[in-house]
Amino acid sequence: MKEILLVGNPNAGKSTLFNALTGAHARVGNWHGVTVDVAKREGKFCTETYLVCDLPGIYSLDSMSMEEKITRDYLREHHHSPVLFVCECAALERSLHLLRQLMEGDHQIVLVLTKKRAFEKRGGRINPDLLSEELGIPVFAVNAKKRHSVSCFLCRLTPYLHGNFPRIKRRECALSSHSYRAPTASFTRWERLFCNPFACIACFLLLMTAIFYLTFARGGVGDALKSCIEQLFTEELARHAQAVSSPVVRSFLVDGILRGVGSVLSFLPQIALLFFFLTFLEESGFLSYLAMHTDGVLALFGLNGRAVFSLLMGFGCTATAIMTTRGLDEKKMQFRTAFCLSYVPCSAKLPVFLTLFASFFARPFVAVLFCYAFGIVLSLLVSLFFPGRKEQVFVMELAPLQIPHPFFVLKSLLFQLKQFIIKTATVLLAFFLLSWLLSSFNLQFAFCGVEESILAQLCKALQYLFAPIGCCDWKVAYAALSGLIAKENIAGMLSVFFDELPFTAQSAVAFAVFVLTCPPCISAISVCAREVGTKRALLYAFVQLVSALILSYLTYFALQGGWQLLLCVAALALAICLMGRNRHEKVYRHRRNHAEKVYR
Amino acid sequence: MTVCDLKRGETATVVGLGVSPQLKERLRALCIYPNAKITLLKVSLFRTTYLVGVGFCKVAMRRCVAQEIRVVRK
Repeated sequence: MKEILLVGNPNAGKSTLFNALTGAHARVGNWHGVTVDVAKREGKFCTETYLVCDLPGIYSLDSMSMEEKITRDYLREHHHSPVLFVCECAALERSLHLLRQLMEGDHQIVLVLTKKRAFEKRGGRINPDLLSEELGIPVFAVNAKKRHSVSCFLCRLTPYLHGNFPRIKRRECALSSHSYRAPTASFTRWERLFCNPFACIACFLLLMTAIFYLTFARGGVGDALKSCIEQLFTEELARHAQAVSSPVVRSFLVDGILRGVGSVLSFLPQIALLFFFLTFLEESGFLSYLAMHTDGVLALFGLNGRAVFSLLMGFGCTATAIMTTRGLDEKKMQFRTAFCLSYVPCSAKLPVFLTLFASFFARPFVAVLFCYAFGIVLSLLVSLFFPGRKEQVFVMELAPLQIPHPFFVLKSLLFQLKQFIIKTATVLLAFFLLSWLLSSFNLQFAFCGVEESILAQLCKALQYLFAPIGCCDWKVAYAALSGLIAKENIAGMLSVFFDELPFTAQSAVAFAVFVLTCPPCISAISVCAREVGTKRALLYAFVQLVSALILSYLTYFALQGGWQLLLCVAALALAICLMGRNRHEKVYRHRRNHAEKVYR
Repeated sequence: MTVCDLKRGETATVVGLGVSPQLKERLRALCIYPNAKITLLKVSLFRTTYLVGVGFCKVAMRRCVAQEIRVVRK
């Protein structure tokens, strides 16, 4: 099958065009470096089927970031495939450098201009036909968000794909003032506002608080919708299931399916709201401004402004967020960021926090907000443990602000929700059924209570894992460890095992600290292994598991009244560290004095 | 003088880049090369990050990069 490569600068609109050409759901966003790997999908244009490849954005073939190297290598391996060089109209001048490099590599190139309307709105002028004559390659303008524009583009493109590419005669790309006139860099009202660091950070904090309030607050939109689904599962469906006469079938329906799956699915509205706002932020281009303003602070932790994208993506899914670290320029920084991301609470941890806090706090919204803030602070603090925090290079192009297209925000949201439902209906359901089977039958395969079941025999030894937080129950430990498969499992298993949670308020907080700081799920660990190496990823997971347990024990100890002692120990540790430094200085001076003495 | 010495809104011409070849290539791809016109648009809090305008593009860079871009005032 013939391949078509989508190549271009970051944030040119390659993935949007890829989705339009193939009907795929590749991740899109208004910031540089959304696509970090080659995405492939078949697309049928007129009569033939092609394999369309969406490559990560690249500025130059002599590139510096990891994702750019992927594109460069792919282009070298597939130098016979035709290239659709996707270019944002506003960035045409600076894209010529890459276009020239591609022309030198004897690629068959079609220049595809995107975002023409926004460019003209800002005072720019472009003539694709004249441009085609000047550059000696076919040039088309397309609006990938309009179906009509895409089909027109395909009709005009097809003859070229059939092999009628013109021979590239000129290697020198130059633009005349007749074909192209770019506007100068200027700010819109909103851009000017977000250029102010105080306004930008204040807006971000306000926005996040509003998002969390709407999503988690009692009586908010998210909470109301959650109650509806919860009612459906726990009352309506459970009532029908209770009518079943066979105890095994009844237990299978109520404990195996409805309680586990129902408890996870009831968080769907809250997850939908969180994803909606995150997609909105991503599409608006606001994150670029935030990255610029936070770069100075992140530099103190050995990260750079680009890490903001990954950290915010971490609120959605840790695996996706770890993949975005490929956009960073240095391997060391990628290791550091990948490790930090494990501490950012993903959307799968959200049901667990809400399950834990709903029973003990009158305002779970504040507790969840605190959890998220604690996760971010912790993720920054752990980066201090990584060596080599020398001054890093940070160069980033700012994406223009735009109002996200509601259709595309909804499309992206629906796709993410579909993924969540599929995950619940496959991985989680399979796990709940397996757990039900193990917890409902004994070794003689007779139907029995949980405490006599196979699962109890297998997991009895785990009961001491959370004994230091006042919870000596193997079921809690099993629920906690089931989070390694998917974090939602923890909430599901707690609902399956307990009608009332076996925690006090203190132990619930300590358990929440464990959930917050424990290693991410297996899919995130495997993505981490691909990015930083298997050994390193496993080491990270082990260190995290041990530190999560210790942190949860310490939290419980502090909440039980031992915070004064903990404070003393922390002060002592700090003093020892500082004394260690001073002693080094003294030794140095002593040696110097001694040397001076000998010399005299 | 370097980008760091420019005042906000001031335009200058790039005369040299004292950075690694890789970074030079990145800056070149962002239209920051000798003879290019560059405008300082914004300086962040504590002067850690500089926002410059080159043509239509706006590029944010850390101080360590900005102080390696030598410029002359127009």
